[in-house]
Amino acid sequence: MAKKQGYMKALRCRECGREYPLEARHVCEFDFGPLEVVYDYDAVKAKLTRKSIQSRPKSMWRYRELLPVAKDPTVGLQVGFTPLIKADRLAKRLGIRELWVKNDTVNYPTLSFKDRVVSVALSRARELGFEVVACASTGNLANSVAANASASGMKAFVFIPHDLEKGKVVNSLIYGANVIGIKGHYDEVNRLCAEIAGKYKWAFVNVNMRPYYAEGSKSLGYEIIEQLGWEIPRHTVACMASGSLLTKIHKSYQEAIKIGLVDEAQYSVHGAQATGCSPISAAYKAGQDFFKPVKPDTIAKSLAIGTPADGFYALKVFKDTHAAADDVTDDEIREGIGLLAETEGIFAETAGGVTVGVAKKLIASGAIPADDSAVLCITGNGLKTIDAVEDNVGKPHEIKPSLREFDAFVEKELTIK
Amino acid sequence: MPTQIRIPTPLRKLTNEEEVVETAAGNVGAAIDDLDSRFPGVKERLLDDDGEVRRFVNVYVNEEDIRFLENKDTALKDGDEMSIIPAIAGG
Repeated sequence: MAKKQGYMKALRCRECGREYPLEARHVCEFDFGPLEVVYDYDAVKAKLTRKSIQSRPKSMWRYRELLPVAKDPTVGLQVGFTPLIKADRLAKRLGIRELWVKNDTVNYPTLSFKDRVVSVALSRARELGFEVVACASTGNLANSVAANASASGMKAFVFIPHDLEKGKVVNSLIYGANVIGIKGHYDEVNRLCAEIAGKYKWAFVNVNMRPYYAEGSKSLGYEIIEQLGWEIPRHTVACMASGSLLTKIHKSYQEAIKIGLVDEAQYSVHGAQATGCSPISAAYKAGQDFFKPVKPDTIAKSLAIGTPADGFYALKVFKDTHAAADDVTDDEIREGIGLLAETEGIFAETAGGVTVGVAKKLIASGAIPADDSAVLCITGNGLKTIDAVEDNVGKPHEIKPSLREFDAFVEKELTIK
Repeated sequence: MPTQIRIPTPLRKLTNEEEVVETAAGNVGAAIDDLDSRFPGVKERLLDDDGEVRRFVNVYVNEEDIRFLENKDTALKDGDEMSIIPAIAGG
């Protein structure tokens, strides 16, 4: 029924399996289930090998046969291939044998993993003939849509909750995007955008472009595998807002096995939420396969989604990979941000504090055994959420430009410590 | 003034492309029955085999998710606005 485009065969409903053409559509007409891109894995396998990947530039597009564009990508060619850091000092503090940090705080160009999904969504939007792109966002996505749209000459409308961190607001405005602050929380922004998307024929990256957009997150998983020397990590910890990132990391590991990039291996993908918005983690702890929506109240605003669209699938990933989910308080989030900064020199946004804090809990509880190895996915940069920690980091020691004053300061510090 | 129901794009084929439909039903469940009587097929798209709202369908009354209200028993009165919206991804 659908006409093949590149390595994509069709869009398919995750719930009932009905297939649709490769258009800008995201919902099954029958049961409202999310649509997902179906690939011709035999063709991918013939082309995408360790050797062909390694011969390509170091960006997320080195895995392009597994990303949903029909032709060569046109937006965000430099995105991805962020560092995977062996975090020995943090490992010691968390009490685990081996720990890695996938550092998307330095992703290009807007310092979060969202550049991955946006480069896919905008490249695909162009292929489908759109000139205007839009998104509903908790901040990072807005930044990335605004920046990548300006770099590719597209017009952007970004919709955000009105009370976001200043860093995230400025980071959208600077690119000249139309920034709309909605007086409500993210779920209300989302609902409005679903209605706007039905009316205005734009490429809404996380509405009608969602099947393509969401696939961009898989590149994070492929990179981890390659950077570990073609191995799937035994444990992965990812933060959850809608739950999409976590489910796509799981999918990336499965696909790597399917096309023969790595051997089959046992792995677990664990989920992290903020206690003030933890519908998925709460459902996991209650042993339920459905979640109850919540009204978010947390400093981790980028994760403040009370009605997580991929919550069901995230819960299924825990089940399928024998993984766990947990959540941390605002104080634990700040502590996690500090711990990562002090041990590894990485300044993460609040979501990173969530991931570190939950990893600490999962290691302490034995859900991640202390003698194992884990990768923490750190997805956004702390410079964007300074508001969350500025009252907790102290102040600079101010002195006159005098050596005597400095000597006195050093002496005082030494006596105290 | 009866309740106005906003119809999402995936259902408009069934409603002859109508974007807003009115109902005099007293609650959300009855409104869905009413819709189905006029536009056969709507109900099986919104409700699962157990008669519960499907997990990827969000229903709002006056901008509030019915899961924070009384679910399908949420009352409707004159002038209310009911929206049916597919779940969408985060950001």
